[in-house]
Amino acid sequence: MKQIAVLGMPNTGKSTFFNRFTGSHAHIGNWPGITVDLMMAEVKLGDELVEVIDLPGIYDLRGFSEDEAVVRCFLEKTPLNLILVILNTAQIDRQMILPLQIKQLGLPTVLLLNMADEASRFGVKIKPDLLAERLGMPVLPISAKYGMGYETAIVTITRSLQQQSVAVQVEGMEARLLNDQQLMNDQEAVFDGTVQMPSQLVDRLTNGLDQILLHPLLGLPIFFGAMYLIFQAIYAIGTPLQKLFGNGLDWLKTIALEPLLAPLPTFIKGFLIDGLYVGIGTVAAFLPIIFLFFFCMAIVEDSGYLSRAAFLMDALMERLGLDGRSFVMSLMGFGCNVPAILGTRVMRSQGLRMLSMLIIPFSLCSARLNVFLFMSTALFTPEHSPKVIFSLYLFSFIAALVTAAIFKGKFPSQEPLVLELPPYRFPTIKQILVRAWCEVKHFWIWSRKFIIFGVVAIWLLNNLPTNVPTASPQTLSGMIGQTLQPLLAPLGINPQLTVALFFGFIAKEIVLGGLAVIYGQADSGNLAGAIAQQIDWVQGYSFMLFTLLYVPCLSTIAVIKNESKSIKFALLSVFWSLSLAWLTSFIFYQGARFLGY
Amino acid sequence: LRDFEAFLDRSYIIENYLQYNRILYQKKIMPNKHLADLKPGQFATILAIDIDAQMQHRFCALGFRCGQKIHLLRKGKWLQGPLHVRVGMTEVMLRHRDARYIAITAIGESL
Repeated sequence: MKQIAVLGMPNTGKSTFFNRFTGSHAHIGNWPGITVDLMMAEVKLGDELVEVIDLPGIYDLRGFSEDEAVVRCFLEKTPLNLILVILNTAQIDRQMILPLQIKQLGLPTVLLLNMADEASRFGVKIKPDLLAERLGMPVLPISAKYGMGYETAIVTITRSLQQQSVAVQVEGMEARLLNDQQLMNDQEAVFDGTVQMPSQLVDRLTNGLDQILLHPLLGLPIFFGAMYLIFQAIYAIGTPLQKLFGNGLDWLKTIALEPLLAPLPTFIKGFLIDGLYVGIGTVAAFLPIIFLFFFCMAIVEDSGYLSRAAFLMDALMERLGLDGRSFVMSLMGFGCNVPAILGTRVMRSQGLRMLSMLIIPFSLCSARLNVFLFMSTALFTPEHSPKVIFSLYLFSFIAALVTAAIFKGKFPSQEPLVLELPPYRFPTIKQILVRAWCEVKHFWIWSRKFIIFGVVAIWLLNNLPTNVPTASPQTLSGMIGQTLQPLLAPLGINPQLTVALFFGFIAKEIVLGGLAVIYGQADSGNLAGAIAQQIDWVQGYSFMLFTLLYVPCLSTIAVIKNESKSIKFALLSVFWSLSLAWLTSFIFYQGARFLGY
Repeated sequence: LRDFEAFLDRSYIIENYLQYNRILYQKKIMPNKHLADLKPGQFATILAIDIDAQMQHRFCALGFRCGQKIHLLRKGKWLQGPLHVRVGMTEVMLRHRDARYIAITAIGESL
């Protein structure tokens, strides 16, 4: 199969193009000798099926970052029929070096000038035909976001691909790359008469918005206010949706599943309905909330506000031995910790990366949010539960800050920070919906196997051996709960909750599914009632604090180990988060009891 | 053709001027001015980027080049926050302490 790679600098709309090009059917591909995951997809171009690979965003093929090394390695090991270089037209003056370098390597190339609409608004004038002639490759202005020029680009890409039946593999790359002076000379020769740039960027919208959003006094309050509103909105819109969805799943169980499975033996029926269906259903009911969360985060990110958050928080982060990027990654971690930890690759200093990886697991990810939404609804009044959730977000921040302050001496960093602040852009509804949808799909596929495994394991532990009452202290789960009691009883965590926490070590998705199975109740309203009968709010909050702070999931640990290339560091992360969780819950629980609650 | 000659001439003069200033700067004859000396709203021209090759690549890729005009848009007031600058068509944030690596011409000077 023919292979196409997509290459470009960060912030050029490369992923937007890739999503449009592949119809967001991409999956993670494995490449020999390359340690990072690359997204790839099969696309039909003309009448042949082609493999398209999305390379990480890089600045320079001669660069020293991990991503730049990955791209070099990829180009030297993979024969390509075509490479698509994407750049932000408005910044062609500094992004041209990438296509010039690729041209030097002799790869068949198509150059896409993305965000052409924005560039003409900023007064950048380009003659694509003349540019194509000078470069010896097709040059096409497009807008990946709005689709302008996209069809023409596809036709050209298809034609270029048909002409290129032999795949090209780069050999001896280092020697062939030009130095700065040669690149500048080439660029001047290519640009003469083809590219006309205004002397500097004038963008009224961005200037005006930055006056307010980056205001020295108002900037931070506005940012935290916006975050607070977003979380309130997710809660306000998401909770009714989740109830509706949960009721639907329940209704399906009563109307279809129970009569259908009635002839089966009790043990198997119990396993299928009370184990699998209820466990998975309880977690699935939270998918609308996760969708809303990613919907909001996509708006914040794609509008350009997220990089402003880095600007606003950098001074504080610097004092903690981190930088604005660590803060942004922690924010991304509120969706899922795993991609956030992968995101630390943009950092060059090992110390900075390690410290960031140590704090990201404290970000309250969507899996934990499920547990908290559920518990707070069960144990608190409707007026109080949003505040409870917000307090957990605060705890999550504080845990990260405390961790950074404690460990900053151990992971020093002197890395300079230069970050682009892109102009503000309006994300399109479709773009946001597609992103949120992909994230939810990813979350579901990713967590499904953990939930199924966890739910099945908990159900079996609760029901084995078969000759004792379900979930009684004589069952396997009862024994686990009892064994761990000396450790967790001082936190107010009972044996049932202990079992859920025990399996939550694998993934937080299991905690809620596990609770549903342990308390063996049909619908989520009853489950909440059952829990509320057994524990009071102090115990519940202590349980939530512990869930928030201890190891997020096995996947996160695995990623931390891979990225830090150190088992010792991964163990440190596990040990530290467990200790912090135990200590926080202990202080809270004993303190609250002491005060008479 | 005359335009082109004029252009060559001009770039030659600019390069010489930069070279001259760079020597003054390196010999510390001229008072060292760097990016952090600018006040919001002021601009100057980049004279030299005094940093290791690795970071030079990164700065260069973001549009920081000798002879390029640089505009300071704002400084984070709080705890000596980062600088928000504009070079060419790109807006970038960088830290106060890293701004010291970027030597500039006199304030308000553009080539």
